[in-house]
Amino acid sequence: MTPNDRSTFIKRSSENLLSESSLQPPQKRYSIDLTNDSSFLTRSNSAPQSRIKLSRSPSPVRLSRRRHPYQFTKSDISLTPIKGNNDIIDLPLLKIHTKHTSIDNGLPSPINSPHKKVNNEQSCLIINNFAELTLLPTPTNEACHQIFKIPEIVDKILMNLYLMEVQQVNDIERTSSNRNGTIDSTSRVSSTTENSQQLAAANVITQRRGTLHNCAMVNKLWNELSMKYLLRNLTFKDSDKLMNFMINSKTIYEGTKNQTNYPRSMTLYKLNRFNTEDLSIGFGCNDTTQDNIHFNNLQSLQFYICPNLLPMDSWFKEFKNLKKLSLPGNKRIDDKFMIEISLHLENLEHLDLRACYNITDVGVVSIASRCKKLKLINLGRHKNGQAITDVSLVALSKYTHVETVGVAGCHITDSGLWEFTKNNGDNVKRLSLNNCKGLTNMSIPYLVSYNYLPKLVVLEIRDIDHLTNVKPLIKYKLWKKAQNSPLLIESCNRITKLLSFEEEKMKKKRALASLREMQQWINEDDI
Amino acid sequence: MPHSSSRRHQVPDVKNQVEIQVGLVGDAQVGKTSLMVKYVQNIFDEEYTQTLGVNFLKRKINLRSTDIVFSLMDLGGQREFINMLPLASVGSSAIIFLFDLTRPETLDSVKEWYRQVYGLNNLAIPILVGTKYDLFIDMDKEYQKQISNTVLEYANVMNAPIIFSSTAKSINIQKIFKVALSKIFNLTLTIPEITRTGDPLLIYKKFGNQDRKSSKITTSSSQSSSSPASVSVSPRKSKSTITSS
Ligand SMILES: Nc1nc2c(ncn2[C@@H]2O[C@H](COP(=O)(O)OP(=O)(O)OP(=O)(O)O)[C@@H](O)[C@H]2O)c(=O)[nH]1
Ligand SMILES: [Mg+2]
Repeated sequence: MTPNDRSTFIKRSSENLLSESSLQPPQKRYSIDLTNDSSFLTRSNSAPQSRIKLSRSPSPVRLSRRRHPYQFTKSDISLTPIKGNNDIIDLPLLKIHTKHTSIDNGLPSPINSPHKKVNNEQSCLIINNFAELTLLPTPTNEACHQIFKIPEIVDKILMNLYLMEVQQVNDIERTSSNRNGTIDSTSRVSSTTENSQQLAAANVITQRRGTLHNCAMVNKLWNELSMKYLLRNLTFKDSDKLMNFMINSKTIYEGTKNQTNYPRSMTLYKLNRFNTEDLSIGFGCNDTTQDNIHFNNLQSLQFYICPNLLPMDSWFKEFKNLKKLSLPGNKRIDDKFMIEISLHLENLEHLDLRACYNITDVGVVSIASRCKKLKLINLGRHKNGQAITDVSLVALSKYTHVETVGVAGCHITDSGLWEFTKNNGDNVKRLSLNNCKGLTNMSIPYLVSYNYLPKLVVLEIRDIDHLTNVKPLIKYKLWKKAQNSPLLIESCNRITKLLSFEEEKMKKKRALASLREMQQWINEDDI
Repeated sequence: MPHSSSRRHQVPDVKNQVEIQVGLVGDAQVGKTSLMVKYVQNIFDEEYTQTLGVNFLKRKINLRSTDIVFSLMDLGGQREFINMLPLASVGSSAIIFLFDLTRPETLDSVKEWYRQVYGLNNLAIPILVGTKYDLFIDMDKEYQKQISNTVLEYANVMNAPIIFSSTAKSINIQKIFKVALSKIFNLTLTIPEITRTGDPLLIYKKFGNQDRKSSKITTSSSQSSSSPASVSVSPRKSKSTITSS
């Protein structure tokens, strides 16, 4: 079975099982039914909630009736309800397709003579002939291939699904970032596109409608095993659901037995009215015995459009593995918070503090000096720009090897940028200097024309009013292209105009020079 | 650190890249492959190896701020390769029609070659090249005169510069490509012409000139008077453009 077949199979069967609502006493014996009812889709959409319910009443979900016969054609293992009035024929069969035969298509089997016309009686015969191939002719409600009862196998299937889903999310993130023109949306550093960026990222997260959710509803075994994977990546965009989850988190994590299932990522989205205090309801009110849920495994913590929500103090000490912290637009976050949290973030690589206006140089310096592995930092803002100055930039360059830096709208000067480049220029890949009104012709043009930023791939220079000398930038851009490492310059109208004017001029000049040289060459004596 | 060396120095100017594709067509054994190999590798081989399909070689000429790259496409002269003619002609800025000066029938075939090429690419500059001048020179004077007259007639019809060359004795080899370049970019070539019967003819001034309108080197003022005249440079065919890379 290819992973695709597998996932369709699982999806189909689980969708079915959701149709339990219309549970009626079965009149006949049925197999796992394989219907394709769209009404299930709506239910599986609300999966996160149902998931919680299920975990509280972990009684096995019963298998439901057949609605429409459905047969897999591609998988080698299939469930085949056979049409007919005969009692034997009505027996649900799980059979393994051999290369030569498929009972339902009416083709003669290798055992039967190919000349005989297949009628009802004969198909009984065929079934009887294949009786020994029937692995599970049990006419019970729980008819299901043995293989799907073996925890190890189910776990393998679910793990694959999990990996596929993670992959899928990564892919979506990558493609959506390509659309934006920059190399990597998660590293995108502009603050002007702040909101759309957040929305895009959040959409990526919320659009996930995982197959795993469906798997959790198959039966107790499947539930238990898929919860393990589901609980690794938590995403909430609804405060009620978050609350619900918090209240039940103890049961949920106990149910999954071991601690490896503590979340690896947690993303909260659009919980405008949710406060940090609300968090304490679920996540250990008395933080000494905060046993419900642990963040030792947490690698990514992201709060989008949750202006009043901060991670709780009691979590900090478990942040040793945290690599990514995104709290854009947070109103509560301040230097004190940054200082305290920075003590625990020794593995932090990605820090997004766009539009966190209460953070100043003090907070940034504490982060810079303690998070040595920092690769990305975004401090872009529209307000309170004077709070972030050269001090931050220089500290980052001294203590870290940061590759992506967003200081849009901050009070950066030429000398700060020089100092930064002197210390860390070799590592910088993306740099956003949008709206840095303190910059003039004395930094960027020189830095590029002497290749002080050799790895640069994205340079954002919108609205730098005092930048007028763009010729070195064009020269650099053409040179980078010739080196096969093109540079993307993002600029405002004024600078874009200047750039394209300068580029035209340069191209003309070069074209004329080429023509002159060629004319000279053709008239030279041959060697 | 790999980059520290480039630190002290300003990023250098990028060289302009002028790519020119030139097709070589003509009957079998007229000397197409020999000419190409001579021009690119400066080697001449007495022995004949039939070309099967299309051969391709590049020669790069480094000028101070420009690289000229000649991409030469040599099509086997056997009729069976005619279906590969597009490879040699489409995208070429100039097509060199070769014939063997010692075999008049190969000159006759140029008509057909020209017709075929023109159907695929009517913008390429045609250049008429008579090969094996070293053998031709020893032939009957009357024959030489007759051939030269016929070639001139062909050149008139095709509007193609004429060059007699010898790959074996290295006569007029470089000139073929210099003439091609001058015609492609409307450059002024001042090499003296050779027009006397019996000499290795080099007649290029009145042939292969683009009329002013189709010229790709345009000088025109753009809308605003403050911006300078815009000049763009690209040879006649799509594949050859001056690009920075
Ligand atoms: N004497 C003399 N022989 C030449 C000259 N150019 C080519 N030849 C000879 O002519 C023969 C044919 O040359 P090729 O270059 O292989 O001919 P071709 O046009 O490529 O032939 P096809 O590949 O079959 O189309 C070879 O034996 C060459 O050595 C020349 O200028 N002088
Ligand atoms: Mg050949």
